[in-house]
Amino acid sequence: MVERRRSVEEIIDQRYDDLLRFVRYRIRDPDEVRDLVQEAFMRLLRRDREDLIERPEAYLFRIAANLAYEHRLRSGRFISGMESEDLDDHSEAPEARVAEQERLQRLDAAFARLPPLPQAALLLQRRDGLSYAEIAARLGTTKHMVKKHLSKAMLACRTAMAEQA
Amino acid sequence: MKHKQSRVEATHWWVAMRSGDSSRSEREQFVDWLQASPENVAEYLELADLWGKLGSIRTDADIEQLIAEAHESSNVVEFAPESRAPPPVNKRPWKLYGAVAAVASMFVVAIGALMSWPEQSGLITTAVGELRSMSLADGSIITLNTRTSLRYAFDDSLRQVELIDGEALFDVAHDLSRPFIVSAGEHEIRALGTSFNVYKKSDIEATVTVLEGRVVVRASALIVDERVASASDHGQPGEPALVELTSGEQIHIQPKELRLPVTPVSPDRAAEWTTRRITFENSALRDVVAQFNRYSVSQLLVDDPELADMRLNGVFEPHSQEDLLAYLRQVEGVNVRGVGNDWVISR
Repeated sequence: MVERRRSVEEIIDQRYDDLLRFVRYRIRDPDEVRDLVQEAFMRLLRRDREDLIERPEAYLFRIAANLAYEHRLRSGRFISGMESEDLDDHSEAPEARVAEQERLQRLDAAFARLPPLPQAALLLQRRDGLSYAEIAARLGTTKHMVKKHLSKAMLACRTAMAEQA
Repeated sequence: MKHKQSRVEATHWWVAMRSGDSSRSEREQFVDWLQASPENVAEYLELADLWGKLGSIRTDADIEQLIAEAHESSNVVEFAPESRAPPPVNKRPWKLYGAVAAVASMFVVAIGALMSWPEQSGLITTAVGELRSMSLADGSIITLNTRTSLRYAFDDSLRQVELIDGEALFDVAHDLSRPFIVSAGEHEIRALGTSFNVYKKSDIEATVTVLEGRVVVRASALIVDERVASASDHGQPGEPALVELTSGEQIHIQPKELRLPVTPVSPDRAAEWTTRRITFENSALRDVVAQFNRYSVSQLLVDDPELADMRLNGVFEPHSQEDLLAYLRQVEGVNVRGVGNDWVISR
């Protein structure tokens, strides 16, 4: 099958699991994640610069998803060509799952603590799929302010996820 | 609180890359930033992870309430005082009709009389294979199928949508004071509170299906002109035909049709594409292939008239061309071969 160019959204949708697993290895083995990130970084340097500038995110996500996929192949988490999500979950240590639950709770709490407009902007973007112009119209503000609200919201959520329990 | 610098920068780029109008120099700077250190790459990937988790965030926050809260504290920070926030729309689950909807619509009408609606307009498009839903300020929800583009413009007297290309499902919020009108090429569909699907095949060909409620389809005069005057069911030659459709009814408008027959359809089936599935029941391979081709850049061609007539049953994901090809490969006597990016199905 000829691989065609995919939009960022498609990559996020179709290979999101791989992309997320990439980050999730952090819980199991932080060293492994450092290696994966380092490798992603190296591959990013080797990419044709013109291609990268055209669609930076698409390339980054594809590199990360491919790396996670290759890693999964190496670690033998494939069973007769089909990956079992259950198996993958069970292979995670119980304490890692508890830690992940706690992280999600911190995310919910951090989101609830956000000021109203950053909260509304992020909901409209992530849940309702509105564009910045649409969010601006909805909130009665400018696109510039929408970006500020979204940056604030993402940073607060990201910080909450990174906190040590 | 002091934030890690790479983290702050990562969120800046994340938000910039989602603006939909990033400039070349902006993307250049973003690439420079990514290539500056593995830490930046790690932080950006963490945001991708966060983005996924935000999709299932548990919150009981309500947009209108948040906006109201922001206005209450606006003595502290005033955002763009010249533009007014939309009036509170009674947000409600779509399938809720009857008494509750009647009360809600009275509420909306009353509010509408007191203050004018802000103008809202825009253009939404989907790429090949993409599926996208968006909610509008009036509470209506539009879902776009693959390769679709539409323009909308709402003001205090009219909600207008132009389906430029493709297929969309409209869940229209009830508002007696503002008709909801979808134009598809030469035709127009007018609705009050309802849910309906429009698939525009060309400027003169379209299929309209009503899932709930009632719509009036105004088929172009061009179509009516094609009819034999005496056989006209729906109007005089030269005048647009008006056809009323109710839930579970479908009309297919195409040139050279003498009549515009209304056929019964299952509403679930009509909106099935929103779940990325299509059920084929005794469908000819040519029709099945035509459906799949809408969702993919690489195209399937049936190179045999008899084969094109072969009947198929089953539930498919139209995005997975490979599934259909795998199925066809195991049918005896069917040959599938790749030609460039496309596939030729023959015997």
